[in-house]
Amino acid sequence: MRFEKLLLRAFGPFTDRVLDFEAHAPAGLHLVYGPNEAGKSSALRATTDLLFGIPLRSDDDFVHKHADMRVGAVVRADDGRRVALMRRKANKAPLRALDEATGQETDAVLEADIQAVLTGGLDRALFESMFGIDHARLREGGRQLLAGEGELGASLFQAGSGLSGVRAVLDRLDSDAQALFVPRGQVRSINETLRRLDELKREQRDRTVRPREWASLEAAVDTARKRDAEAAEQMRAVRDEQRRLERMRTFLPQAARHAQLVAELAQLADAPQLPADAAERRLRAQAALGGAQDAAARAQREADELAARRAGIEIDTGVLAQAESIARLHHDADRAAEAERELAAGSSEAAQLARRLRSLLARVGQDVAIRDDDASIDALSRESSVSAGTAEAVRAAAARLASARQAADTALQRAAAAEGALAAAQQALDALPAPVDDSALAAAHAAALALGDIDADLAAADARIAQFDARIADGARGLGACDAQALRGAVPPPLGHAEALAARMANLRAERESLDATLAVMAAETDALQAERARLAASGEVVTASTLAAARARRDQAWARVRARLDGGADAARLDAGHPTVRGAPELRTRTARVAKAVRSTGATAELFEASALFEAPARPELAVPGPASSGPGLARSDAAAAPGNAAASVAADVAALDTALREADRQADLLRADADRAARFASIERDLAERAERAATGRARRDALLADEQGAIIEWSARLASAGLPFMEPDALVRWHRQRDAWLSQCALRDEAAGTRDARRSLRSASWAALARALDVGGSGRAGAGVETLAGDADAAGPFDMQAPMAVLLQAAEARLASGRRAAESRAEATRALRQAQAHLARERATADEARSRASAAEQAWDVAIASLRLPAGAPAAQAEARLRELDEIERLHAQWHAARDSLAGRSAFLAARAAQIEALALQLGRPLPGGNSGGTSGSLLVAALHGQAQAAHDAHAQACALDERIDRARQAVAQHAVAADEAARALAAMRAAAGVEHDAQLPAVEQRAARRQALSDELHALEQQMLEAADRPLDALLREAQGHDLDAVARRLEELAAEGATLEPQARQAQAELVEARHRLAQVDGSEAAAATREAAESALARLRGEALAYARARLAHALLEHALAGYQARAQGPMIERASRLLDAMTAGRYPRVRAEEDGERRVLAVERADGKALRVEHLSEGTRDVLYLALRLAALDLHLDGNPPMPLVLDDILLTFDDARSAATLAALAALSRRTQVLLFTHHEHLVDVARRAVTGGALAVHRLDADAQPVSRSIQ
Amino acid sequence: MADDPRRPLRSMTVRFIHASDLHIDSPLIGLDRYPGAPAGELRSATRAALANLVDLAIAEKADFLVLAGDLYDGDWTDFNTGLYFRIQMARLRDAGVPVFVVKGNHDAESQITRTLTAPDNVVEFPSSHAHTHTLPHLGVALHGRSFRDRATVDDLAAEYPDAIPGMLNVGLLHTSLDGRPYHDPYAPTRLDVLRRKGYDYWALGHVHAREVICERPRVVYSGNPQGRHARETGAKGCELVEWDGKKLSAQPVALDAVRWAQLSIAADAMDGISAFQQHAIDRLAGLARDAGERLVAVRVSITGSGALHRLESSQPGRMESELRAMASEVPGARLWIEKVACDLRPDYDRARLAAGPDAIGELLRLIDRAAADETELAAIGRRALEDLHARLPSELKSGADPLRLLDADVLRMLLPAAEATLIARLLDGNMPA
Repeated sequence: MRFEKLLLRAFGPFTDRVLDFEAHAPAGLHLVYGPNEAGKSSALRATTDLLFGIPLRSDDDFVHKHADMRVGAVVRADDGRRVALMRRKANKAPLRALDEATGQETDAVLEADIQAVLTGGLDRALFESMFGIDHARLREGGRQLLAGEGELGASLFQAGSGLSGVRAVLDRLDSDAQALFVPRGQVRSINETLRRLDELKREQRDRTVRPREWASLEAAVDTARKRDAEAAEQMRAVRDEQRRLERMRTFLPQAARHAQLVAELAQLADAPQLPADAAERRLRAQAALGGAQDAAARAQREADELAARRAGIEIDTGVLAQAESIARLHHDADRAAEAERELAAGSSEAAQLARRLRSLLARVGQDVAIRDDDASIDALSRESSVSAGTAEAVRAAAARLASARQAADTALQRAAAAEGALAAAQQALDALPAPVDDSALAAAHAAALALGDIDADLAAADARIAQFDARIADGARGLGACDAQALRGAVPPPLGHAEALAARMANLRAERESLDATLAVMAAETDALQAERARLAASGEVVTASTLAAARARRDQAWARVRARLDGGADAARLDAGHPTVRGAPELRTRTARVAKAVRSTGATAELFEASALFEAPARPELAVPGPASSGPGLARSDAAAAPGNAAASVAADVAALDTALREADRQADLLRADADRAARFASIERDLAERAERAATGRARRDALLADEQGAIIEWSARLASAGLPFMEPDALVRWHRQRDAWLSQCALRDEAAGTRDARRSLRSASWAALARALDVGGSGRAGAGVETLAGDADAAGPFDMQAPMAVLLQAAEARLASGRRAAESRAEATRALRQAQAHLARERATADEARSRASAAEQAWDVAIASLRLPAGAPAAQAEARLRELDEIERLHAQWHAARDSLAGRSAFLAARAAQIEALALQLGRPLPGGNSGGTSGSLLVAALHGQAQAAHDAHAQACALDERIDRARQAVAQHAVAADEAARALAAMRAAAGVEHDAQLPAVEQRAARRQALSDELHALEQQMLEAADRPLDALLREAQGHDLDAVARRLEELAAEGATLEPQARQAQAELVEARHRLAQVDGSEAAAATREAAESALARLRGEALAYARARLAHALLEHALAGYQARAQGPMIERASRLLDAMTAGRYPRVRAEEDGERRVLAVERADGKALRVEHLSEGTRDVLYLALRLAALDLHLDGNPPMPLVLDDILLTFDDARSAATLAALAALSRRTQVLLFTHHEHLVDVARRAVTGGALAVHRLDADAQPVSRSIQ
Repeated sequence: MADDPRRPLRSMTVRFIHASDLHIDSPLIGLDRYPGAPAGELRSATRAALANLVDLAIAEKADFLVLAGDLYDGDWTDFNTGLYFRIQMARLRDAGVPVFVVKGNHDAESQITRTLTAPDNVVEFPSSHAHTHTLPHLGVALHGRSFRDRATVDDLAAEYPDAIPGMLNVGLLHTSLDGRPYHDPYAPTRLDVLRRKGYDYWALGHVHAREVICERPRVVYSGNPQGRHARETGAKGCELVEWDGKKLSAQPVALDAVRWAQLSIAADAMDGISAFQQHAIDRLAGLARDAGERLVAVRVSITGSGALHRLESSQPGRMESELRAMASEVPGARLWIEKVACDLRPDYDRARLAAGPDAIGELLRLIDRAAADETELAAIGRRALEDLHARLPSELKSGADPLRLLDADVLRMLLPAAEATLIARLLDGNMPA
């Protein structure tokens, strides 16, 4: 595959850039030069992205968005197909067909096989390794050579694949494997897992409880359980007997006491059963009876004493009944006294207030109506009161009146000022001059302005026409005409005729020149062939098939002559005339034999026999061709010998000539056989020379004919030109002349058009000028109006106005006058506007003053109404109204105080009257005398105070009588209660006597003692029996009976025996019990736990790990083994051809300094070395870094060369690989790349411009194309060669 | 049959549970306890599943439980396993749930079953003949027969008695039926044989994947309650069956403590490890969601070509490490990456490269030669792997998936991986440091 075009449609900095690799075919080495920032790296990436796809996160999106990125190409597939495609950045259908005509992608999705065509079946990484070299890779290649110390297998493999770090890969695989496993290691992962697996297996065995083991454990428990039961039974029997005898030893004394108690109780069988506290209860009853009787007597005495005291108390019930009323009246005594005092003082204050009110009412004009009674005062005061609203209204009316009066004054002042302003405005208007009519001047001025700067335009038009005239004159001269008008009217030969003739002459000339070139080439080739022929001739005699044929012809001619002599001379004469006969070899041999026979018969020389023998040699009569008529000494001698004379001598001479000719022919045949190559080349040169001579003659004849045709055409052409009045010119020159004349005529037309325009403008100027002059009253009269004199003083100084004066001067005068008129009109308009404004202002001010006066009048009327309610006269001032308002407020305040004083006096009088009525009623009810004077006042209070003392005494006596009554009741109740208690005690003693069976209380103590003894014995017996029963496990009767057969000593002895037996049995029982516990414990350990299962699970997990690790180990080890095999295999196969090709490349790239690469033995290894020009071998570690890089490059290029032997070509993409090469080495490398580019396309990207020059010098023969990637320039590919 | 009009209508609902193939204490296979993996449930997964089964029976107040064989692994001899079963059965006894058991092929060879005495609520069918147990208070008849020997190849079902009319007839059978993948052909029979018996429900065992063979009558493999390796994926459990006197209804109930899942990832469109990580974490999160609180053991297969091929080739195991890391990053998930199978292809045309005269072609041709020539392959393999092969334990070299490193098949299987590693690392080394 190779690129024909690369289209950077939208990629990196590029938009629609094209690299055309085919424009300069057959160049195979393409130097793509891009200075910094030109996008060289982007172009390089575009090349690989085109092949393998634009990466998802491409960085070349800084101009075009990812979705818009496009890179296209036209590629030539190995099968000859030409594919135009566009690569998009997309997952689906990224390759589309490209329309080359438009440069646009189409909707056609390219087939999948196109991808294989593009990539050659490689992925990006492999392609970059195998067909891409950049500076870093080159350096890395050199470093790897050094790192591997030039070890041959790895070095060749790396160079052969474009990969590097083979030894490091082997080391890493080793390290990966060893990290997992070493045969005798412990800490590696697999070793550790194996060890752990063994442990787990052991643990599993230990933790697994087999069913048989479990059955065994269960049986052991059963056995232990039986043994334990037996031992326990023996121990239990001993313990039971021990317990029984121990009980017996305790029981025997108790049985004796039991019998004693039973006997004693039998003696007290007649004693009554009394309560245990019978004596205490009897004593308590006797004491209670005595106490109750004493208490009853004391209570009766107290009751009698209290009744006597109650009878002595007296109570005043009348006063006691009115005690509450008396107390209330007594309580109000102080208040009544106070009321009496305030009544006297209040009357005086009310009178004083009434006097002040009368005085004020008189001041506000009510004095006429005043009468000397409270009702009148009250009525007048109410009448005089002014509400708050009235006072507020009066004050507001005052404020409004003041404001209205002030506004009226202000308005009058403003109206007076407006009248003054109106008079001033009228004066100003009257002072302005009368208006002037400038309309005609303005119209003329506008019309002149509409023409623009017509003077400048006319001047420019004149200048332009002058330029036209100059160019037209020059053009006419250039067209070979002295007279422009004549040129305009000239009728040259038609352009079509001229073009046809020009084409014909061009064809004739081209053919003639081509013939000249061919003849020159042929001449050069003829010279070269002649030189080579001369060299061949100089190296010795040259025998060719033609010279051999000529020699043989001479031989045949000599033979014919001899034969003619022998046959009679006719043929000899004919032969002498130069017409030899062609004869075949059989005839020659026959005739020679006959000659030999004839010669022998006539005594000829031995040489003739030798000559005849020579004729037996094979001859090639079919090659015999006519030779030169007379050449060669033999024939000359034969001719000489053919002269008339002695026949025998003639025959001998002819035979001698024949002999010479025979020898010559044979010699040439021998030479021809011995130096066949040189002869063939000589003959070939001869043929080539002849052919070239013939072709040269034909060519020259053709050339002469062409020249004649050309001259004939020129003669005819000259006549046509002369007839048209034109100087001689070539037909193609006439074509150009035609075009130039057309252009010249266009210039003329433009000039005419410009002149017409100018003239029309000039007419307009004149009309405008006249109109302005008329309006200004200047013009042709030379007089200027007054306005013009004023405004255009400069024009006057320059002289009168005329048509030649610049239009601008007239316009300036017109503008001055128009400006003056405009200013006057503006001033007048302004004054008029001011006058109108003053008039309007005066009218407004007067209206305002009238309105203000009207408002003031209304305010005065309102004021009068307002103060009338204050009983003030109309027109009274505001201050007077304010004083009246204060007086009316004072009347209102005093009236309120007077009313309050009168109300207070009335209340107090009513209180005292009611009190007097109550006191008098009380006195009548109790029969007391009525108090004198005001009963409600002080006198009544004295009576009430006396009654209050009497009521207090009656209340105290009543309380004392009630207390005595209560105490008498309580004493009588106590007497009754003590009597009841005495009865109860007597009844209890009677019951005790009945229980003891006695009649008197004194008999009771003896009976009580016997009953208590019987109870004590009975209790002891009961307790003893309980104790005996608790200690025994049988009925009491059975125990008492058993005890009858024992004695205490025998029991003690048996107990000692049993203790000894127990001491023997107890350890045995404990042992059996311990064994049972142990057996049970062991069985209990089999509890269904998952310990064994967990170990099994862990072992499975370890196996899983082991499987993974083993596979990883195997992968690494296998990869290692395969790579080592591959290194050895490739070394064996590629060593010879690679080293041979790399030697040639290294020799070329180092300009002969290192002519060879070779393999050397280094112990058991074979390593790379390079041979210096002096024959010394250098190992890679002894080479400079740069030379190692060159060596690696030579090996890589050699490998690529080998690759191309059996594979279709893929473009080789190189990126700045000459970065560290000097110019000489760069040139040599470029030449080597150019050689490689004959087999596959080579794209070399570089930043360095000087390499362009180096490449141009180093690479010749059309093998190099240079492409520029300047950022601004359109990078169309440019061929250098 | 279920709708037999002669059957008296019963107002009571019968509820029972069908489970099989408990394989108690059988290990989960293929789980490497890599650092960070959640290891807790592994060792007791089958026990936990059994405990879940018993919990379910008690919670659902099941009338009885049927176990269709293979309680234990046949070659497992730890009696603790049997005791654990007994403890769980005792729980059911205390809850009043009878258990009916047929012995399967594994049980027939198990020493545990011969020695263990089960609680009295566990009824084991005899191996000498088919037998019927009835539960008159429920109106249920259970028919079954245990395996006598591991290799029972007779049609046991053919000898089963006919259904008892008027009762719910349940058949217990450990069988491969007419053949099932990955399962030995024990006690084979046919569906029509089962149909002819007239039972309402056939509780089958032996096949570990749940499968409803037939609806009328309902013939069901309940599957095992706990998956044991990567082929036993998805929810595992038992069948909860209800009979209302007319109609039979059943639903599967998950009991597994650890769930197995398989995850396939297509790597073609992934341009780097980041895309792979994001994709993996999303997919793993989906698996975790489906499994709820359970631990999920995931076997991942990665296919396709592109950037990941070179990465995995250069760093074998990289994908597995990434996935294990991703598994630990899924929020709230408990994931275990059991194995990662990478079937990634290179982007280059291998055949074309192998035909080339250059060094890579030399390497590829060597590999092709080795793959074709067992003698050469064996020689290479022996030199490279003999040491390790000798040390590998026999368990790894035998069994269902033996790893015999020196076998030609294994070596041939390893060749593409070794080749990919070589090409990738050589390309890595080609980039200047």
